[in-house]
Amino acid sequence: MKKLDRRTFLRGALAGVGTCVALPALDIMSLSSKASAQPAIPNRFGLWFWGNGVKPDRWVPGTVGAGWAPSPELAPLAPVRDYVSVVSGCEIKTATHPHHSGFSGILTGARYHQNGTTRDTIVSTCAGPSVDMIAAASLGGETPFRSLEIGITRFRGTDEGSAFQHLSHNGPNNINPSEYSPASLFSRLFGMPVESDVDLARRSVLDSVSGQIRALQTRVGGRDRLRLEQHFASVRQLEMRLAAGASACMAPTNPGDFPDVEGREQIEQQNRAMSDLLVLALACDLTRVFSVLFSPSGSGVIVWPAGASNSLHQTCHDEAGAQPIVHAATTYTMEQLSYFLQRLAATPEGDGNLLQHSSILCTTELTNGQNHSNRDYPILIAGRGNGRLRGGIHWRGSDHNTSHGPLTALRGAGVAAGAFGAAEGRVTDSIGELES
Amino acid sequence: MARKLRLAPANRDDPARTKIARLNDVRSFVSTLCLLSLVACTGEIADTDRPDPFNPPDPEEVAPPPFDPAPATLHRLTRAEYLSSLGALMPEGTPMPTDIEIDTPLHGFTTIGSSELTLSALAVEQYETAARLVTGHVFGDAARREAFVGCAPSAECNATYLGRFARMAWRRPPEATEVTALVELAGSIATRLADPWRGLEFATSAILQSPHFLFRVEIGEPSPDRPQFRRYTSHEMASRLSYFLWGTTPDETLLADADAGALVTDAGIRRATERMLEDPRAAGGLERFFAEYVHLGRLQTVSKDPDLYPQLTATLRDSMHQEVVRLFSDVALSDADFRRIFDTDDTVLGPELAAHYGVEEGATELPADQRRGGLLGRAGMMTLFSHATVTSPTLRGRFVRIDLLCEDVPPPPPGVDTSLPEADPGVPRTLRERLAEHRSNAVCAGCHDKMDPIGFAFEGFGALGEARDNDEGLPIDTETHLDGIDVADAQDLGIALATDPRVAACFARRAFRYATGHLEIETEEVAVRELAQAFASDEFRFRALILTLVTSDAFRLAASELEDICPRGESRSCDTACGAGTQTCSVSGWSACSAPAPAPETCDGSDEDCDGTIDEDLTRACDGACGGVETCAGGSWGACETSAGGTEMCSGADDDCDGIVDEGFRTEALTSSFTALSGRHPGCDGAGQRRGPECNAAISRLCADSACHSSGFGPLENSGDRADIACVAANVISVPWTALSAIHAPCDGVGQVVGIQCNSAMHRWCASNGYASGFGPVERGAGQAHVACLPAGTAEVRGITYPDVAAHHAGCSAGGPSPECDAAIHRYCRAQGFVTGFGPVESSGANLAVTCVLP
Repeated sequence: MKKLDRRTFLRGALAGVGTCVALPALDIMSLSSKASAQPAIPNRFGLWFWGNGVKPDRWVPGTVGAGWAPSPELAPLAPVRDYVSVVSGCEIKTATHPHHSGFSGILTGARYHQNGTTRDTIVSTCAGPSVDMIAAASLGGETPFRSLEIGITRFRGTDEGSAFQHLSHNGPNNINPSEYSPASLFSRLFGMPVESDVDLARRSVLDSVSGQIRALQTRVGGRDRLRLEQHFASVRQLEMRLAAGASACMAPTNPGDFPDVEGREQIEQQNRAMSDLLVLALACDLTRVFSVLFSPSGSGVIVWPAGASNSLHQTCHDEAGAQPIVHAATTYTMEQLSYFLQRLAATPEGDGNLLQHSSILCTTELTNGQNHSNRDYPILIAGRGNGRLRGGIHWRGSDHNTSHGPLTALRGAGVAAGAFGAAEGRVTDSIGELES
Repeated sequence: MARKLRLAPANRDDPARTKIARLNDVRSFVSTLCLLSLVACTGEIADTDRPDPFNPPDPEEVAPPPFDPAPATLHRLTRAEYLSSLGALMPEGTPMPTDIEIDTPLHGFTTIGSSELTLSALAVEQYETAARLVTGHVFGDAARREAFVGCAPSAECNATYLGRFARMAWRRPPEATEVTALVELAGSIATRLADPWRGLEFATSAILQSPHFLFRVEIGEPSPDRPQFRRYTSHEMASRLSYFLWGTTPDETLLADADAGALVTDAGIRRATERMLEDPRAAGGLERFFAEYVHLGRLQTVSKDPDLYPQLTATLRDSMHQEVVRLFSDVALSDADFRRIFDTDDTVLGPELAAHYGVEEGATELPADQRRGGLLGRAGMMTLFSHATVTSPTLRGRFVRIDLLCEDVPPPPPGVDTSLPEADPGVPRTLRERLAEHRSNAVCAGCHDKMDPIGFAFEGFGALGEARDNDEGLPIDTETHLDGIDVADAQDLGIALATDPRVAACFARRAFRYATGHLEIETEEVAVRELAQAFASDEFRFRALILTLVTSDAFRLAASELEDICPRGESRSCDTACGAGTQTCSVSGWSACSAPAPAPETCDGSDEDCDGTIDEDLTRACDGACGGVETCAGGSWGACETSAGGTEMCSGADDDCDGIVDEGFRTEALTSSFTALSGRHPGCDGAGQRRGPECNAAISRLCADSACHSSGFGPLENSGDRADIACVAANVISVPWTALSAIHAPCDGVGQVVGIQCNSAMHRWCASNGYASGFGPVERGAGQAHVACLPAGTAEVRGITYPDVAAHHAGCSAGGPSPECDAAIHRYCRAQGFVTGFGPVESSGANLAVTCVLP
């Protein structure tokens, strides 16, 4: 009889953050199932997003094919180059608006959904689920957290809708907000003491809340029924998590929070703390789907370490000439991504590492923040997708649809997606050159 | 607009007053001549022959359609509303949660966002934690909980307390069934935790996690005198008023008004509103509206270059915020002409802010010579609409254009270079000069001409709102114009805005949106205009605006039908894996997409499942010595590939190539013993237990040792040490007890683990997931039952009567599972040609259902 391997030990790659000893014994792993064999190593899907694009002339690698030569802005990724494929030469086919089109275009493959029809500028949201939630529909069911959403640089306030404030969407104005506090994320992941009697009482309470939601649904209009359906699903997620009991992971040290120091945001410290917690959550199989909002669409983050003293959005627009500060800010952003990817690569799992077992789409909401271009879009696909992705390839299209990128990343995580996107944004082909 | 402003205090020198009079004269000319052409961007982006989608003709010029209110909707409490409501409900001193999701404002207002957004998993978690925090504090202390509940837990006390607290939290009297459910919840938890207070604690937390607390539920009722509409009920009106005017939950007086039905009448609403406006809570609630109107919330997160502006401390931010909201309350709530906010120099300053303005601590007026123009030139506003190191005439002008004039400014189209001309080293230029060059580009000028000139009036104030007299060492030029009216500086601009009818009308529109929590729909436009007209007739007094608004039909009535999922009759494009199509909206939602739907692939050379591959992965069985397989290629079936057959064994494989795995071995009734079973689970020793959860586990584990079995049930027959068991090839699935108890309530893993309800729940769970039937629990995990489901085709469910099985063992009679029935059902199934069977999986009176298992 075939039994699933239970991964028993993670070695000490996470020293300093904490060590995850026994992995949770997933129920499915300890039970016999004649019908289908589950892979011993789970598939992970990730989304890593930053705002305001890149400097395209310093982003696109000079060589195509395997072993791409790092461009100035991709140089920070050199240590994990063989895990990262670059997709260039694609454009958003649904582009009508500078920031909004690219955000919905790359994350849903569709046009943005405009909220309201009054004049007062555009307020947009996603028309359908973002790519991470498409992955969560296949991969999210077996872990305590269906997905985790994390924010790095802070939201500074805009009035342009959920697309400018959040990353992960279930549908129009149905968002999965990012957690910005490492201390709160720590508490969610590791801080919940298990008291089984109390947890039973909490579940009874949630059960009664679910009943109230169901009863209320019969009395309201269709749009509110949908909103309550999400409320119900959200309550169920917590209920199921309580029912699953304790995770077998040993908690690391609470990293605390990183308030501004002398008026400057502690971007690197925040990124490290959040990346470390996320890597641990993945290693402990607390979730298999995640998104990291490094900075939102049109972000006003001031990238101090790159020499900026004004917001990135403004600098993109106003900086003259070759835009050295925008370039430095983009390079700095890739350093932060590289930290996260290197932590994944340094975390052993089975006979490989976490990055080998992941497929992570890394992208932004436009190509070039200076002119709002949506052509030659910046897309990276990191990880080897449990052997489905080759890694280390630069594939260059010619005015291809950007949707090929997300579709490739989804399939790389083992998601059986037949197509991605809608109308002009829709594709059915992934990029075969990137796949094993 | 013939009415004259009385903006400036009488004791002040009065150049402004002359100016206002002059401006009023000019305006009547300008408004007729220019207004229509000014609302659109006139640059080269827009094709002037076609309507500009961003700038439809000025709606003031088009007669709006007749009034028809928007549908009622659920309003999620905003973060501020949630926290203030929680604070009002719990005793003073209760710690308040800090981790509550920040709002997603839409169209400028958190109240609009809250009518659109729902509750994420993170939010539900945060509300659960918060509810446990506050209830844990109150109920964790004997004196506190007694004072809060007011009686000692008992059936009567619990009903009284929970009914009372639910009424306060849900802002309406709870239904009797709702109170009963809460009392039962408290009772069951009290029993489980052996503490009646904890039962009440958790029931209280349930009230605080209820959709009736987290949402303002608005459904309405038929309007007796206006049958074409619904009206908000008296209790719904109490919440509408309370959250608009106070930003928090209704007090007892307002709930009593609601109970008395007073809030469906004009007089009742007016009386309640007048009382509420006198209450100190009105300042807090309405300042929230005002802060959102001018985007003041962002003051907390705005970043400035710390080298340039080291003085920007948290306390200075607060002080800036306070100055602006106080300016609003002092004018608006004292019932002065609202437009004074664009003119007054009155202020309330913290010490840091006084220093920032260069005035004495405690000063109550800003120096007139700073010419700040009321609200707009205040440090907080200037800080908001600036960059981190430099001012932004564009952002400042954009704020005036969009938020004060309710006009639109489209974004630049994709592909336009937006960078400013590179500074020529050694030739300093002011930002205004650089922007002028920028605007010499016709593509940019169309829209920037709507923003930048307004912003130039504020160039005398730096990125932190500090007064300054030079930019890059060059003198500052603040002379500019507002849509053709010349202004010399911010003070002039303030007066020009105060006297501009668009500003007051726009403010009334913003108040409507905030109060109702939605963007006005087309058929509410008429109501918004009436509101603006009434505001003008009432001399721009804010209290009058509020009274007009809350007594208006638009605030009290809802559409006769609840909102559909989609706009009925509308079509939209859609797609399937096979291509694009359209769908239309009907009362039941969007229709199926007209594009062809993907179908299972068939061997015909076409791509039925639309995955881009033709005839992939198609095989079929064919005849051969020992069966065989044909594979589809290029639209036709290939040759029959056969393999030699062997002898079928209990191997998990099709050894004899007959297409069936482990046939003859899949289900086996085996002789076993309690001695053997107790080796798999010590609890199943034939003494302490002969039948039950431990024996289930022991049998399942014993069966799973064999390659062709995964689980089993029994004992089928037992006497002495003998315990016969049935081993089967099932899928063992981990199912939460909550899912089982949802099917059959007593089967919750606590009250019942094995029994007729559990038999039935597991059978039904398997059946609803595509299996023939199932049994269990074969193991138990944390909150989970492991259920063995039998695949379709491997078992049959038979509906029979107890006499049918009693014929095989007289000891089995109606009443559910027993050792006698186990044997009787086993024997009955054997007699019907099956290997074995189990049950009852359903039982009702003399009828029962059993599951018989095939070989």
